[in-house]
Amino acid sequence: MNDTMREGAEGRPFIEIRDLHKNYGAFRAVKGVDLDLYPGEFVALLGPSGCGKTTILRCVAGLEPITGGEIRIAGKVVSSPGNSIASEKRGIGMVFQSYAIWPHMSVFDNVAFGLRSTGIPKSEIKDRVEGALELVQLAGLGARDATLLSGGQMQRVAVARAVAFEPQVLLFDEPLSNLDAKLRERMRFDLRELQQRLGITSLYVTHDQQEAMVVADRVALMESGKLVQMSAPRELYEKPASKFAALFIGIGNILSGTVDLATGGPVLRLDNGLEFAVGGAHEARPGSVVQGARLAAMIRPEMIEISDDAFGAENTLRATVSRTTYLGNLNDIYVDVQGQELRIQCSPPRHFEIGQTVNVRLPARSMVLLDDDADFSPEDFV
Amino acid sequence: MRHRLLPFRSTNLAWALVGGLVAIIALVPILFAVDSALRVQTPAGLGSEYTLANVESVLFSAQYTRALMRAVTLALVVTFLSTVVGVITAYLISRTDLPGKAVWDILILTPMFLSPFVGLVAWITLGSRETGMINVFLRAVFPFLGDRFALVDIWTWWGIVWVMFLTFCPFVYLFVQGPLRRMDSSLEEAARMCGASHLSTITRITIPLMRPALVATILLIFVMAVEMYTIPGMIGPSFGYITLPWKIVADATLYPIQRGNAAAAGIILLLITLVGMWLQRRLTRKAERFVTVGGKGFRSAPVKLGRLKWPALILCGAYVALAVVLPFVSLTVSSFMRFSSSTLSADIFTAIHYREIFARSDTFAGVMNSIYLSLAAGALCLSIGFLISYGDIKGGNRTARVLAVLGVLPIAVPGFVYSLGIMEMYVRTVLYGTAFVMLLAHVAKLLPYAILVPRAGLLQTSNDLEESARTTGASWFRAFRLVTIPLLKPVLVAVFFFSALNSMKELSASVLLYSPRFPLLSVQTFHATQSGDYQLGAAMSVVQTVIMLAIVVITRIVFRVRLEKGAI
Repeated sequence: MNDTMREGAEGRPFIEIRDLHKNYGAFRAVKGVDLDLYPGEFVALLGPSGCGKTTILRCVAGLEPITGGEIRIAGKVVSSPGNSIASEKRGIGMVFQSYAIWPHMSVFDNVAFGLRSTGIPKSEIKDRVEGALELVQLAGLGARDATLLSGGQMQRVAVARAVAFEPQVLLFDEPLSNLDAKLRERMRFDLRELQQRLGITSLYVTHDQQEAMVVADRVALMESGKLVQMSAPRELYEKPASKFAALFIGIGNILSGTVDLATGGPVLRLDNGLEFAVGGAHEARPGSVVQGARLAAMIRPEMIEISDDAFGAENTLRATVSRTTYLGNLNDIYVDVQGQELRIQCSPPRHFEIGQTVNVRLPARSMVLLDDDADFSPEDFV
Repeated sequence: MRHRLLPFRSTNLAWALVGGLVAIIALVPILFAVDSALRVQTPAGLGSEYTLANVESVLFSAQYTRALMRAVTLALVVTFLSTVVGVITAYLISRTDLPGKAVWDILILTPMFLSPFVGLVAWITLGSRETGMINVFLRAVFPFLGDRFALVDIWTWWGIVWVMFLTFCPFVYLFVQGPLRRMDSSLEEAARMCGASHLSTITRITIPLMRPALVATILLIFVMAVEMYTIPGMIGPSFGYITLPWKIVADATLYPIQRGNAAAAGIILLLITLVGMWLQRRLTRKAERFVTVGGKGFRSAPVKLGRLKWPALILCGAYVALAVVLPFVSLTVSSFMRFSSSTLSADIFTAIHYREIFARSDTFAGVMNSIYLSLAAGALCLSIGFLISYGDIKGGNRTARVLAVLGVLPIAVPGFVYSLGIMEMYVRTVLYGTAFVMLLAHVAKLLPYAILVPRAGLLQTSNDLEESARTTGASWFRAFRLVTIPLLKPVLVAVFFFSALNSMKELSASVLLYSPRFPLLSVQTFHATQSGDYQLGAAMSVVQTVIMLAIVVITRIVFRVRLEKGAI
């Protein structure tokens, strides 16, 4: 779903999470999160492990009582402190990280479980289970013993089971993390396609930023119990709101310095004396470019131009190549500019010698100006 | 390629010795028991000719078949009751928000470390019709009940069931609790998400998932209950209720002695337990298939008991009071009493029984012998068991692999079948009635645990740890001593003390092999109780209990090893 469609989604969000708090004893797992999911929307909760994303999912599922705030589904309060509608009455389908396929049942019985709780006639159950299995491309495997499935098949059965009883919400708890890399990549697209076809409002927990970007309409980025940014994948990558967001989603060069407006266009002066024109750069916090402000300019490695010829334009610097790594589809190059290290990704790959002098250009409009907060370094994600 | 970690050639001789020892300990007694089942019985003992008469008389006489049916019925009822209560308490303590779970856990497991026979002695002092403390107390507090009032009477069929139930309940609790704790809770959460209520999740998911573990536990308890003679043999004869195990012991020890019949009946019982054990093994293997892909181990919130909280607390409280608190109190009180009495007054209290135990040479020797024997059995079990497991798993040694199977066999063999075989083996030698014979029987009975427990530990330690020590230039022995042994230390400590503990409470083999040449505390307790001297029996039980608790406390505090974790 793109931005225009979301704006078209009328009225109230389908899932509303308001000021959600969740404590485990003294540990505060979720510290006041607000999150809206519009009807039919696919939202990914993304963040490093321990950031509280799974906790939020389990609160929505009704598997954890909440400490503060409120969760509404279709306008109805399902969770508030001391008050929780039982999981089985929420009409939510959930796919677990461990798949949670019941080993003592056949594939058919696993998928039919939710339907049998509802008192639907047998013949219809059969049709709907077969329909659900077809949906995940497991048609004809119903009689198979659940313990005899491969990991990928178990994962599909878990999805079929979650959608078979036509829930109003789907929850995914790192559903692909137990699969091998190749299968994981394919399943991302399959899950995305399935959700689009069914149009069920979905919340998806993952720590893999690529996975989040593939499956979701919007990505909710979390850090230590707080929601730090909620954007469409492209916006999150191109216009991160903080250093954390910039470096969790992809790679970024961070240039910290002080704003100088004296010489015409705005300039960011680094502590080692390097200067960059930043006029036209995106400002994460509008109005942050004032004389003397401490800011960090972030630029993605693929946005830096590199050449042995001269560019003769703004922000062009002489640099020395210090390390290059050939990765097939791109060349990963580290250069040194007066002690400032820059990482450049050049695709299609072009060859540079170590020690070679090159020109690099950092276009101002490819930069994002961020608050130079905290002692946050890219190494945190390496 | 599979590395041999043991220097193979130099240990061939050692393996032959260990193999011979295990055969003598674990196999030969059974063969002797089979042999005596097939020999002619004469008034002077077993003859040299072979016959099927013993087997026939056991299989077709009403006396034996009725005794067998009684043993089976008793075992079924006891298994059923202990399973129900054991499973409920295990679920309450491992899955719900019951307050004080850690304390309940310790209290419920405590009787496992004590002799079942001590439990019986305690309940005789507690639940006898005239002099049992429960009845005495009720009559004293509520005089209107009258002098003849009795709430409980242990000298009945239900009395047997009750004491056996208390013996086996902790085992069910222990065996069921592990799988319940390890079960991936997302399996149950998935059912909730599919619209199933709490109750229907328990009946449709939790219990079916537990089924393999449950059936295995039930079979194990049945096997232990069907071969038990101490409790039914002490209470049952008072109202003419003879079960097969007791009949076998009576045949072997009481006039008219019929060792052939005893052996034949023992072999029949052995076949029943073997089938049970075989089924149990098969199911346990199947249970391993039920292991699912691990999640991130998100511990789900414990099940809220709500209104059921008080009934649950009362259930656990009542169980602990009846299984632990009351028996201990009553045992201690009556060990200080001169005689059984239906009224309590100050002048019947005395320390004479304790003085007697420590002053009389045979009883004092019994106490010391029990300690020596249990330490020797512990050390022997530890070394043989560990050697076999190590050779089997790390050395890839064929002899060790065979021994690992052979050595586990005795788990299905009733203790008295061993004793019958060992008796025939040594009855004409000078070794008969010595500590050596007793030690053999104990090691045979305990060896299975000593093989199985280190096995689990060894499987968990990666070969790499030992191999990386060797790549730094350490010899095999040095790597073994500095890497393997320290890594496995908790397991080894558990095996040693668990074996010692079980040797201390072993009764079913010991009673038959007992001779005044080698007095033993457990058998003396049995004899004192059998002859009606319950106060001396109680005092001996207290001494035995103190020694056993000391073992548990030492392992927990000094070695930081929880014995119940290694008990399976």
